[in-house]
Amino acid sequence: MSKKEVVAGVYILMIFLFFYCTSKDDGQNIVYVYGWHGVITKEVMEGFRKETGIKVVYDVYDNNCTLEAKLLATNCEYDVVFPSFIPFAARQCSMGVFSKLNKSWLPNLKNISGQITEKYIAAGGDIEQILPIFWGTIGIAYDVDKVAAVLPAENIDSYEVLFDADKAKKLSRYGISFPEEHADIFPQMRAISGLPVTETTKSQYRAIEERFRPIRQYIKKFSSNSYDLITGEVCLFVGSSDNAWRAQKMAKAIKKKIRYTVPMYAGNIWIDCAGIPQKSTHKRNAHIFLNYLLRSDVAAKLTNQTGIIANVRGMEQFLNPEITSDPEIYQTDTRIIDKLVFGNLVQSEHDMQNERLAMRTWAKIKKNAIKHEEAKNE
Amino acid sequence: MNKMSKPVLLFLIVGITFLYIPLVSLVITSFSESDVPGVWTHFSLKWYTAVFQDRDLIEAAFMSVKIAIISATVTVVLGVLAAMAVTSDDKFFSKKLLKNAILIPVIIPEIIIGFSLLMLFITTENSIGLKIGHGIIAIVIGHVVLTIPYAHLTIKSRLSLFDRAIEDAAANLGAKAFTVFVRIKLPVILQSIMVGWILAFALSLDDLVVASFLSGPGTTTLPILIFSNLRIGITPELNAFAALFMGVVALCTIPAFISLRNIGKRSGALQNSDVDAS
Repeated sequence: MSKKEVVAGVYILMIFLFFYCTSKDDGQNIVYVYGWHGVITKEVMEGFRKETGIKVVYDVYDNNCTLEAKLLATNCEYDVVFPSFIPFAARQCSMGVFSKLNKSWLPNLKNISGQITEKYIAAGGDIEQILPIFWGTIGIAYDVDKVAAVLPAENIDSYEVLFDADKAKKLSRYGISFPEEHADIFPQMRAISGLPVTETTKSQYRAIEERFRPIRQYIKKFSSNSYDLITGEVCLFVGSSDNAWRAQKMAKAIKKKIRYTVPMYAGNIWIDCAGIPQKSTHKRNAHIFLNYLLRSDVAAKLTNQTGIIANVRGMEQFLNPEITSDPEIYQTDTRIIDKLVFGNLVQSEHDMQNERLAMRTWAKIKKNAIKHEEAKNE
Repeated sequence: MNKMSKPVLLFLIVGITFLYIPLVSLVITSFSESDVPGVWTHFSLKWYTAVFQDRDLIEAAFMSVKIAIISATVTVVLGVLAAMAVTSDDKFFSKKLLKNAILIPVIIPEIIIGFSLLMLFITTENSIGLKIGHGIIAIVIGHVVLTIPYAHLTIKSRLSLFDRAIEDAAANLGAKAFTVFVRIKLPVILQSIMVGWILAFALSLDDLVVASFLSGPGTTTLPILIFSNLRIGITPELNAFAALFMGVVALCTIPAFISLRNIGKRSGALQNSDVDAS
């Protein structure tokens, strides 16, 4: 083997590697989707491929910040992404990372009207760019038997139970879990404390801190995973409806009873949007995919399988009774929906300051530093 | 072999238990029928069949292995070249710089490596039109940066022990530099190359941070998939998958270890016979 042969071999190998790495199925019939794990199920992707011949390549991210980093990095090659509305999609819209939707390619767009869409638009959502496609609530999920054991007379239907030191102490025997993110709890805090929702000031956060002071010691953990209800680590979990739904489903297997409730006048709504990034290379396919998701039977299939409610009209007839029989998860009461509040919007500099304040307050509550500060002040 | 004293033995048992109990429990619970991970009901292979039907998981695993193989190979090639340059007698301008600069990725946090590479790729695309974008190439470059210090160090340490006299002798007998490398140097450092390759492979397989910055359409690696799984809660499928993965890794590494041991024995015997002959 001569030197030249070896060098040539190395070059050939490198060129081969390069082409191997760059070779993507770059035919027209592909759509790159980037979303949460499990939000778009395999059956739906398979059904889409059978119907249209377009292959869905589904990639996953583990949090909204990863998605935002890619969107803002200007060379995001995905065709459809699913950012959460507040605060992410709301500010991404104003930064112009999404391309305008072509309505003539989306005949099923008519399905996406209704109360949730009105709320979305009222909160500053731009339906020309991103669609409010999935939604859910944040409420209280709890282990019925355990809570009945410590608070037999209580009907858990409001946050008052949690913010009453005596009751919280009793519940803490089996553990209480609060959300990890302040955006999942502060809006309700404002509602129950009678604070204005739109305007946020320093004194407001002081008030929220005050609410937490007597009960902080009884909170076992801050987590967004409802799995703790199943293992018995906590008996009461404040979190999102789809998490609660999964816990309920798992609980059935081990004969536990978990109930989910959205407290009237103090519920939090979240919306996940669907948008097409500017740099998307398969815009036509992306529209076909979105149009497919907006079809009522497909939307119902997704809702049945994930517990995340699709914001699509006319899907009721295709839903499993498993979902529709639980009005707390599949929320249809217009009065309750009307009262649901959004998290903080972060767009202007004022919002940024506000967000920082909220983050600091929440960090302080989580660290259990409220007490220390009080001691210092005195 | 010396008999171990009781405290030492106790320490060993505690240490090994601490390291392996999580793995053992993971493997045991992967055979449970329960839908809830970590709860034992009765024996079943249900979750193993689920793994084989889960295309996403298998695709992500193959993607990770593919990236790990490519990046480990590139890392080793560059690591050998750099080690030869650093240990050579030639004095060149940037030798000292190279010597230290190649080790810097060890002390830089992964998140900064990932972010800076992302920024670099955007800049090259916008300024000179070189489109690396997101995807396998980007991740491989990231992983090479991440793993090269480890591979380089193992190879360099072996190479610096290499007896120069043999090289000179071969050159004296008419061998060209290239022949000297292939016939003499390479066999000597082969073991350290393999160790470097395995290190780089393992580091690349394990990486989440750099990959999540640089991944693009169609390149979800296994760690990214598992991490995004956590949001909707883990299923026993992951237990089964982890057990399978450990099994495959064990199957691959045990022969490698045996062959490495044989090589070690052989070279040991060779040295002994050299001594005898002299």
